[in-house]
Amino acid sequence: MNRLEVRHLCTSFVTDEGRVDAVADVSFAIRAGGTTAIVGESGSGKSVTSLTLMRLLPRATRTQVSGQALFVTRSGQAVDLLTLPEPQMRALRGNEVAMIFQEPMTSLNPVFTIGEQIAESLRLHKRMDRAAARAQALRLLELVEIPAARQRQDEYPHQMSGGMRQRVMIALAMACDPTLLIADEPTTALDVTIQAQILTLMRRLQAQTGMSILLITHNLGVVAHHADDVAVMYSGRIVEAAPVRPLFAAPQHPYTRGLLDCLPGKSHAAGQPRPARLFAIRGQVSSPLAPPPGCAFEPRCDHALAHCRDAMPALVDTAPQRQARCVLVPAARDA
Amino acid sequence: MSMHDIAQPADGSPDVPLIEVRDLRRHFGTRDRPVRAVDGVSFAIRRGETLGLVGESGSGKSTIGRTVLRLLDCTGGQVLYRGEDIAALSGARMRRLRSRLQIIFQDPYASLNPKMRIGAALGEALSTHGLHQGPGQPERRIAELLDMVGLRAEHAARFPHEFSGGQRQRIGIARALAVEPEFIVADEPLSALDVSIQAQVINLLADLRERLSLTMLFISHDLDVVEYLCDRVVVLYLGRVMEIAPTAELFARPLHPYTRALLAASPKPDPTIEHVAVPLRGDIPSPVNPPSGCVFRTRCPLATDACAQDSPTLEEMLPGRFSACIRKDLMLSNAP
Repeated sequence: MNRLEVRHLCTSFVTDEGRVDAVADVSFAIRAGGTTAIVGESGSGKSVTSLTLMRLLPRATRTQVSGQALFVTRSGQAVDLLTLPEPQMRALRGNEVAMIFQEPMTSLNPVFTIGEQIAESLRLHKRMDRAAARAQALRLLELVEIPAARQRQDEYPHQMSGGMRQRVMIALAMACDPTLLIADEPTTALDVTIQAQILTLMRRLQAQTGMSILLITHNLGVVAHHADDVAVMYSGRIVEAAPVRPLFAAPQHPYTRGLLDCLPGKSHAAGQPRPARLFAIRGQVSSPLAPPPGCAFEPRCDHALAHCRDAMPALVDTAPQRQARCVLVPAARDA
Repeated sequence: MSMHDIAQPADGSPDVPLIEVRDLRRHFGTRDRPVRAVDGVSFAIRRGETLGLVGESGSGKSTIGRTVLRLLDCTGGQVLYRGEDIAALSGARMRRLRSRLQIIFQDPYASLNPKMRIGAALGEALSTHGLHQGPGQPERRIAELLDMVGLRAEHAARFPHEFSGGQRQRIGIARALAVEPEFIVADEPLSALDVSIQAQVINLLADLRERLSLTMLFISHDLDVVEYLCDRVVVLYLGRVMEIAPTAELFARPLHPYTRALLAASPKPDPTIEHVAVPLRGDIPSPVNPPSGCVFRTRCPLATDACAQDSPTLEEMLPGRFSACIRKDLMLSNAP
């Protein structure tokens, strides 16, 4: 069963300089209990995708959203996150879908203790009284393995390390027993040993609760070990989607291949001498205000053909569970 | 073992190292409650070598980078440039030396004046050090520098905001190279860049290092990049050196328990590698109140009661390989 099915999602911003298609025709699914990762570099649209799904884009911007995001609730009801009336959406945010961000300090209120902040969320969404909420907040802090949780629930965010603050954010997210957790670069601001702790914690919570995770990251190492399915985004579009093992074993789109080839950690096998030069994808991402006429990756692609400039290739099924958006990757015959 | 033995480069060459750091200390805060950002660090960098400095936040790597260039004064120990203590140099001599010793910062945008055209910013570096003579000279040199880092001469007329992150880092590199340095501190020069741009800048750094015979102190938290670019690596934890080793040996067979934990925690971009490592417990302790004895013992899976007693010294465990841990038995027998 799919917890979330996103179909043809488009998000555009109308700016003074013109229209920017931040997310264009994005479709993917997240299985119940599974983790889908969206990988991409700055400006690829991965964060806008998650903010669109949560309906958290600032209202002031002239934003146009289209497409569908079918979410299956705990009770088995399918709702479209993009058209759900705001009161129901708010209820969903408190009880079904939670989100954690890259920088926990900016998401936590500096003038309230962490215990108060978690308790507030429980009183609001779970209608608990003050005492029950405080007791539950303590259990949640223990759930995310904060040492000496009883003392630390009375601390303020600035008294905690980055890793501890991210645990608090996870505790806040878990307060609503989410069936879907959206984690937007959850470990990017953290050191590697702390990143390992946080990712291990997220996996344990997923195993215990059966929640689905939408993991948004630029780190292919994290994707390799913590995702079941992967969607690679470039310039607002998915260029390749596949289960994690086939994707890393045989990437199909030239951009995915380039991303993996340019990692210094993949440049040579253990014990082998390092090559004199790393593979590099040339050039840089085009301005979203002036996208190239055809395939967005064509200006940087080593395999581009003349007709790559004619039109944006479609995302086609290339093998069971695999899609790619490239004229060089043949579509599966039965597709 | 004397401090000098530690400082000697691995191949035992008789040359004086280009940069030598001896028992370096940099404490911040008050005398009663010092923040021990760097606490007794020694290493040497020989000519032409790229030395990696790795460690997590708070390990003191950036403080060391700045202290080596005397952008920060040390509060103890010495930094020697060609055998000469840079702390003892007069202002005028230090200014002259600055053109030999340069730095590339993590965020090039923060280190470029937003109101200054790129040509003017590079020209300023040249004129400060009296490196352009005659009319037309600075323009030619600026064009040459931009070309060297893969930009075009007409970019000199643009402002910093007109460039992408990768291009700005190229400008940061051009600015550092403008004064023809022989030693460069690269302080996390890639961490603000996207993966595809990172590879371009790595190649640029490697090319320039070769062409200009640069010696480098490469500061990074990214172990894969360090493995690719560096000849030897210094592993820091809470202001102290845990391990020093030639790069290939360090990655093939880390000796110190912290190095092993660090390598295990860094996820490899390969889903077929089974991830069995149990993450290190807890957080880095506060440098205001570091643990007694070995600073790593509070998170070390191998710690014993004895680790709380004495601070372990850096010892040569294998030729050219130094490690600071009292559990030598485990370091040598259990190493993968």
